[in-house]
Formats: sequence, structure tokens, C-alpha cells
Amino acid sequence: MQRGFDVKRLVLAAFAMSCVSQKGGAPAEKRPGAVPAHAEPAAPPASPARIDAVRPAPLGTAPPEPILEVMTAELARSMGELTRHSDPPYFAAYEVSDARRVNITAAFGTLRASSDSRSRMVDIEVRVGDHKLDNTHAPRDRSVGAGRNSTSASLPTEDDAYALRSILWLRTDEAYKRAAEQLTKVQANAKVKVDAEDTSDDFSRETPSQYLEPPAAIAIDRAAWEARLRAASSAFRGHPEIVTGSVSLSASVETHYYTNTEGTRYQTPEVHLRISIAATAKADDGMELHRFESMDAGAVERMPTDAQIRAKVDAVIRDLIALRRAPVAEPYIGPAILEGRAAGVFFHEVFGHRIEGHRQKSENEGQTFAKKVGQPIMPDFMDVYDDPSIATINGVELNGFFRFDNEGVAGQKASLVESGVLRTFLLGRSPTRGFTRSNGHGRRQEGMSVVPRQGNLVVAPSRTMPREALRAKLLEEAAKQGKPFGLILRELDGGFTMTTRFEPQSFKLLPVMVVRLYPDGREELVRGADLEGTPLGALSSILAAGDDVATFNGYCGAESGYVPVSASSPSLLVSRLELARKRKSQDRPPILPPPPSGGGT
Amino acid sequence: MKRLLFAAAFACITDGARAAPYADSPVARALRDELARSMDKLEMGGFGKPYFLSYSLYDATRTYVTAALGALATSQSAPARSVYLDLRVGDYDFDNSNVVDAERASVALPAEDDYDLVRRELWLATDRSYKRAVETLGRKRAVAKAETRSPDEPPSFTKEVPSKITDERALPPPDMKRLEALAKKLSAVFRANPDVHEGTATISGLAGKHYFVSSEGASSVETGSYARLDLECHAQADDGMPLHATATIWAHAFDQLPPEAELIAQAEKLSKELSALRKAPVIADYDGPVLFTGTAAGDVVRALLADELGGTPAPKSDRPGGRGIESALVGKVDRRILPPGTTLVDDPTIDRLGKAPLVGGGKFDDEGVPTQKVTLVENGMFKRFLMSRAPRAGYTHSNGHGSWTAHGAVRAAPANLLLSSSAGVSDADLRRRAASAAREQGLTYYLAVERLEQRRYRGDITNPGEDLSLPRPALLRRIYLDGRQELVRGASFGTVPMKSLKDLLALGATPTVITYQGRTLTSIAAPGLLFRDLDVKKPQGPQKQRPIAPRPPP
Repeated sequence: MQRGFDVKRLVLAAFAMSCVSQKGGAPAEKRPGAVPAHAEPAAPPASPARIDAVRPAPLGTAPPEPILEVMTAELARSMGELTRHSDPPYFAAYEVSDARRVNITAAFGTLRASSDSRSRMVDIEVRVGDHKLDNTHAPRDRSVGAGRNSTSASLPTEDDAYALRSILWLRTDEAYKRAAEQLTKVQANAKVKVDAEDTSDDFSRETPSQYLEPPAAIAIDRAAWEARLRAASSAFRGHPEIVTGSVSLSASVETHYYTNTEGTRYQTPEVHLRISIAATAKADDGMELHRFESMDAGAVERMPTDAQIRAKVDAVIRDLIALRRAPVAEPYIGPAILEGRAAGVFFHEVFGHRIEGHRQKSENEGQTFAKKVGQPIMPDFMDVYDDPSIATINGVELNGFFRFDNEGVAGQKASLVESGVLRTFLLGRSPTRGFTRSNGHGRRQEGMSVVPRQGNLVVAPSRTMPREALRAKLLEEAAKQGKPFGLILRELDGGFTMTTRFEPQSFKLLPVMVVRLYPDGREELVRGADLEGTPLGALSSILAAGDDVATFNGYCGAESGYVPVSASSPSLLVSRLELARKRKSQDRPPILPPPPSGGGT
Repeated sequence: MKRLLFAAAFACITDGARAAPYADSPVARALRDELARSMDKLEMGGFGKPYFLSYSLYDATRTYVTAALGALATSQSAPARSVYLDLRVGDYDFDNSNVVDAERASVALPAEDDYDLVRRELWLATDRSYKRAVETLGRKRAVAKAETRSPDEPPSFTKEVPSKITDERALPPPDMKRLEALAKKLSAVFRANPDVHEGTATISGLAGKHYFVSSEGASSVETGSYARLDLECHAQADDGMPLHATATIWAHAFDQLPPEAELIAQAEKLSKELSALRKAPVIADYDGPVLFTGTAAGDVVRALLADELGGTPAPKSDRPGGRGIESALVGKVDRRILPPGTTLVDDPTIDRLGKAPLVGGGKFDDEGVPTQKVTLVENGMFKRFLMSRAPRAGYTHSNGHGSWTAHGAVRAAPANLLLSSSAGVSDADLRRRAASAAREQGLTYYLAVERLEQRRYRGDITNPGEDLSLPRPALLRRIYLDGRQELVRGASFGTVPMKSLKDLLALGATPTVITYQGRTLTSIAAPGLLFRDLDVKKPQGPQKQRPIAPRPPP
């Protein structure tokens, strides 16, 4: 793995983009009744966006499972021995992810794959030094490799204390030795370099807590789901334009067990059930077209019905057929509406990744917002927060819900922007200038090292306007800028952003459903555009917000791996967005038509 | 059924045993029908239709069970089903094949026997292959124009009689409960030894059908399977040196693995060897005779010779004059590469040598060509290469050794290599000769290697001057001239060239069989090998510390 600027590229899993959107199914290609160009836009009412957030009450009174007891015993024993050594560790933590994963995919009415697997992974973190300076200290240049501050290993899935403890023992020893070695390098590096701009500690002090829920246990009827997905995916048959088309279930039923030397212990279930629909087509000019939709749930009884899945499949087919016929987008700079979920993805990329605490600290990072706390960074009607303790918003389940982060800190609300003014960052236990405590955003995929990440990002403007008014304002803005049309971005397939100093401080988003709105109310779908820009410019160009909050659920990838996230936002009108032509495949569409069906007997 | 190996990456769903002939299954019909349609109609303006197309299907179940210190860690059994495509444009004399950057053309098939979806997958994969083939041929022609053409430049593709082989058997599904219990029991042996830090038993295998169909009319099906058991235990010496004792046991199927009692004895032997290694002295630098016995002999053949036996010409490069790497044996036909009296054959048509299973063979290869026994070395002289359907000067036909490689094309590879010598001597004689060679060189002992390391392990430190042309010895003894034996640890070899094989002092009479997964699954039977003179190095510099905390209580 390369290090330095190369690893900081962030990808919002394009394959994992998702949806749990506003009522009314997929975005329609045409919406009748658009506001005529000459209509007077309604004055924006001062009503805030409707966000009914549910934060479930704590449930943590279950007895500890045997694995948690084994972890606790071995952590105490190993640390007891290690603290008698020179350079003793001052902190250690074990986190075990015990997972069952069921993945089923059906395509064109047939089962493509079906698997059911069980795994148990441990992440071991050992810190040497003290809270002020320890082995995790970010090196000032790349001559000292950034020490991975965790060690991981797979564990037996059986609760055999001796077999489990043997592996924990060896890997703890390994993690400790690496930490002690890294601390020596860090101390030397700190001596020869100029003083860091940010002299915050390396590790925050937090109050220990204990929270034990019963382990995750849900029944997934594999055979029944295989049958349901076969049926749902059969809708792709009979559409020769659709090249690939599948419907999948991915069920991840995990229990997280965490224990550290400060006395924090937790045992929490984490269930993610997702139905995803992925399909591709090819335009006659060779352009690859794809659509992805997904539906997420945290419990079997809340999973979508066959009719709901089928409606999404139909919408995906309809969109792809429309995209094949759509003209290719031309480069454009001008006003645009980002509709609900697209606005969520936009905020996730443009804003969310740049307010991760560690990016304010590392001297290799662009630090777009590091010194902007207390200053306005977007219009005064904008409030933005990230709150992992929310389970649902307006009835939609959020992917980024968790009780505790991967550093044993309770997930809590971080009020990032209040009335347009930056207030705080997403924080784990690595303090940054002015912030000494975690707000429960230290996250990772198992096997990776923790950094602060988004959970449930919520854009909550205090002033919104109805949809029609927002469209009218778009046309008004387009007229002001001399544009023949305004743009509406309906679906974003994901995107990425660059945050290090070496790279341009820019982002790129991948819209799939882009519509031109003409002054006469006509809508025209176009294809093949990428959305580009710079974060400060984009955020300051927000003009108005709609009253239609929608949630995007997905999986976000960055240096600590893939983590489930959500982003909720109303539609946003921005005065300037830049669209560039997408790189396109030069391959022709398949030469032969699809093979005839019917068994060939 | 060695080639089943490559099917391993795709997980699907099983459909149980079939009673009807495989060729009548929906999948097989879909392959034939899409093949016929592609040959008949697939054409992009001016570039011509394919002149050859084959589909090679692996339809198998992959099983993997592992346990650590008596506790189950993983248990999986899942179908794996994929098709490898070979699509050619141009003609037999000059086509798109054998170029450096060929991508591997394969496609994972759905878990279910669905005619429509299988054809759909083949349609898209064949379309991609065709476009790539047209492009590749264009590039190859451009390079050929800029290059001088050597008079013995072979054609691109041999002409073979299409095979029609039918070998259908029902295979029992793996008994997962039994395999889990066995893995637990075997790994629990290591738990009883306080020296062992980590100890695992892993049982894995593939079982299924290989179906081959080509536009030349080949249509063959073969049933096959293999099973392997890996026993591993690891420890650290008091000076910190990581120590490993491992063994791999192969069989044609799970129910043909040796009886449990025998396997437990094997695990106990490894565990004892590991403890003995902890107390063994570290080797001193050595230069003198080295005797390889047991599995170490086969591993020597593997390391020094096996990869050179394929005669598929080096792939053409994108640049005029550029080429991939040729076998080191090119230009050595009728030259000595082994001592007089030595024979080396590759025989994919047998599946056993005495009681030892040979699992590298099969009835037809990855190009559908019936496998053949090939004599590679006679009386120590190199005679001929193993061949796929890519000919070279002097070879107009494949001898049934084509095998898919990880990066694209089919190349020739060994299946079951059998090394023997008409001058082979008994074990006692081998040792006597080693001792007298040591005496001649003024040494008080010689070295005897019983096992080589199979890979690098966590915590291993590279020894200065180490050359991995031959892997490290795992079980190595000093045999003193007075008959005393002493286990030593920490050794690694200096450079051992292929050439050193022709100066072997002696070969033994009784072979030991090893099997390994390299580019393909290969078995090697080799008797003891006595080298006159090898450099063996001691480790230098520090090792990693032992764990600070004592092991956890049982």
C-alpha cells in the first residue's frame, strides 16, 4: 500500500450508492405542471425543513457473551505483563466483529450466486507513550512511515477460550512491539522538525462506559429470498437494451464486542440488510450507462415488499431506456438544483470529508476548514450536523446509526454548522486544535485503523421553499446568467474528493440522471456528464433550499475502509455548478443481438 | 483434473448430482449453441469471423475447512463455475494468440442451470473476446511487419484431432461435519504442546466436472476431484528465530485421505519436530555435499526444473524485437541436464505411483487435447518439451499439456513428473556416498535435508546472501562421519542453478511424491538427490524477540 498523498483519495462507493427516497418511487422522466417561465416566484417562507429524527432509547442491560469475557480476561493478563516492561503501553483495546454475511444475487430471473458465511475478526490497538505524545502521532514527513495503530487477525468462530486467547496473546505482543518501535521513531522525528502548527494531544481522555445489548440474531430465509430475487430480476428479461441487470440481497448481521484498559466495554448488534438493483446499458456511441438503486433496512420485518422491489427494478429499466435515447450533455457552468438525495451525496463529498478531524491536523492535508471555526462558510440559513444516534428520519432508516464508535465512545450529535457558521468537526479520540474530546465519530472497517468519519449527515436549513418555487428560482437564476436552461441533478452515482495539499482541492461527482429545465417548463434528460468543482466555492454558492428532505444511504470508503453512512438533505439550488463531459468507453455495443431464449431443446 | 484449480474464485450454488449426461445439461447446451452462433455470425465489418472458438467450463464445488488449536475457524463449501474462452481470428498460421499482454478471458457462470442466462453471459464474454482478438491481431501484424521473420518461425496454432472423451461419475458431496471434526482434532494435537504458538489444520478441495467444447468439433467431459490437508505449527526459539513445521497431504478425494490415526500421528510428529527445532543449534556456514530425501527431493525438482519444461514459445511483445521469457532449456535438446541413467517423464494419464496419489493429471488438457505421457529426459539428456497447441520449431502437435495461466493464455505445464535413475542406489548407499564425498572434501559431516519450507511465514527474517532459487530447509540434519546425527536450524541456500543437477553425485531408488499448486496442480515423484557441493548459509543479525507475556493458561 502506498502512503502519503496517494492514500487519501476518497471514494464514495459507487457500487454501494443507494436510496431510500421520497415517496413516489423513482424520479420520473417528465413531470407535468412545471411553473411557466413568466410566473412570479413565491417569496420563500421561513419554514425550516421537516426532519423528524428518532433516537432509540438505550437497551444495554444484557449479560456479556463468552467472547467478551475471554477478550476482557486476555486484555487484562497481557497488559499486566506488558506494563512491567520498559516502555510500557498506557492503553489497549480489543474489538471483535462477529459477522454472518448472506449474499444472494439473481439476474434475468436466475440465481447468479448465493453464499452464507461466518467470520470473526479482532482489531487490537496498543498505545505506547502518553496522551500527549504516543506511537500514533502523525509523522511530519514521509521518512517515518505512518504507523498503523492497529493489528488485526481472524479468530476461531467457536468460543474456545484457549484457542482465542492464544491468538489475542500473540497479536497483542506484536501490536505492542510495533507501537514501541514506532514511538521511538516519532520521538526522534518530532525533535528534528519545526514545531507543528497543531500541538494537540495524540489521544483524548474519555469517560469509560459499559453497554451490553444481546448479540445480533436474525433469521434470514435464504431459499425464500432466492425465490424472491429470481422473480424480481426476471423483469430485466424482455428488454434487449439492458445488457446486465441484477437484484441482490446483502445481509450483514454483526455483533461488535469492545473492551479497553480504561474499563469501557460494549456489545452491540449491527444489522444491515440491503436490496440493491444494478443494471447497465450501452448507448449507440459506446457510452456505458448504469443505474443503481438500493433499499436499506435494519430488521427483516422492515425490508421492502416484492411490489416495492419490482417498482424500483421497473424504474431502473425505464431510466436506462430513457438514457440510451438522451442526448449527450455539453460542458456547462450555471445554476442547478441538486434534488434531495443528490444534495445529500453532494454534502457528503464536498463538505463531510473535509470536516473529518484528522484532516485539520495532518500537515499533509489541505485543511480547507482548519482555521474557519467561528466563521461563516455557507449561507446563514444553513444548519448541518452529523448524528449517529439517529435511527430514522421521517420514517426512513439511516445507515449511519450506531451506539458506539470503534474507539468505545458513544455516537453523538456534532453540530457542524449553525446558521452558516462552522462550529466543530467530526472527531474521534485524536484531538485537534480547540477540540479535546471525541464526539463519537472514530470509525473503521475491521482490519483498518480508526479515523473520524461521517455517520448520519443531516443538512437542515432553517428556511425552505416548496418545490415549485425552487424551480422557478432556478429559471430566474438561469435567465440572470443568460443560460437557455437550468439543470436539475436527480441522482448521483457517487463521487470522490481530494483533500491533500499535493492535489487540487477539488471534488468530482458522478450524476446519472441530469435534466435540463427550460423556461417553458419542458424537461430534457441528458447523459454523460461529471460534476466538478471546489468546496469553498460550491458551498458559498447555495442560494436556497427546498422543503423535501430525502435520505441517501450508502457505504463510504476512505483510509479507514468502508463504513455505512447516510446523508439527508432537502433539494438545494446552487448558483454555479460545472459539468464536464464524462470519459467514455470506446467499445462498440455488442455486435450480435442477445441470444434467443427458450432452452434450445 | 488439475485445471479445476482455476475455477476456484467464484462462489455459486450447488445443484446436486446429475443423472443425465452432462452434455445434455442446460449449461452444456447453452455453451454449444452460443459457440455455434458466434462462429456463424460474429463479425465486425472487414475483420472476418473467428476461425476458432472454444469454451472450457469448470463446474465444481470448492470446500475449505480450517481449525486453530482445536477450535473451528472457517467452514465453507460453495459451487464454483466458470468458463474460459479461447477465441481466435486470422488463421492457424498467424492469429491473435501468444502475445505478452493477453488478458485472461473468463466468465463466472450463474449458480443455477439456466440456459438463457448462461447464453447471455457467453454472448457478452464472447463479444468482448472477439473485439480484443481483432485488436490484438492488428497489433501483432504491425509488429510482425517491423520485425525480420526467422525461417523457423512456427505457425500460431497446431491442428489436432478434436477430442470426444466422456468420463462421468457421480461425486459425493463433502461431509462437512466429518471434515470439521477432523480439522479440530488434528489442530488440537498442537494445543497439547506448550512450545507451539500457532497450530492449524486446513482441509480443502475441489470436486466437479470439466467440459470442453470447440468449433473444431471437440466435446469432452471429465469428472475429477482432489483433497488436501495442510498441517502447520509455529514456534519461536529462545533466540527469537521463528520455527515452522508443516506438512501437506494430498488425495484424490476427501474420503481417500489417510486414516485419522495416521494423520494424528503425522501431526504429533510435526509437533515433536518443532520442539526439537527449538533446542537445535543454529547452523554454521557450510560448503559441501547435501543430500535431499523425502519431500525435499521433489521440491528441488520443482524449484530448479519444473517451470522450464514447457515449450510454449515466449509470447510476442508489443514492441518489435521484444519477447517474453523463454524456457532455460531452449537450445538444450540432446544436451545433458541430469546425470547419465536418469529419466524424467511427465505422465498425466496415471493417477497413482505405488500407493501415492498423483493428482496433476487428467484425461484432456485445457485445450481439449487428450493428455499424453512425454519422455522429457532420457539417460540424462534433454529430449523434448511439454507442449500446448502453440507450436515451436520441431513440434507440430500438442502433447496434451496446455494449461490456463493466471495472466491470459494457455501455456504448457507439467502434470505428473516422474524422475528416476537406472543407476539409483539404496538409501544406505546414498548416505555412504554422501559421507565419502564429505570425507574427500575434508569435512567431518555432511548435510541431509528432509523437508523444504513451502513459503515465507510471518516473522521470518531474510538471511544475508540468501537466494530463493531453492527454498529454505525446514528439516535439516548434520550427519557426522561417525554416524551421529544433529538437527540444526536457521539455514538458507546460496544460489543453486539448474545446471547443478547434471553434476548430481547420485540418485536414490525409491521416490517420494509431492504435489503443489503453482501455475497448475502438479505432482512430482523424485528419489533422493545427492549434490556434491552446495553453499548453505547461517542466519546473521538479530531475530525478533519472543513474546513478552507468557502464553495464556490452558
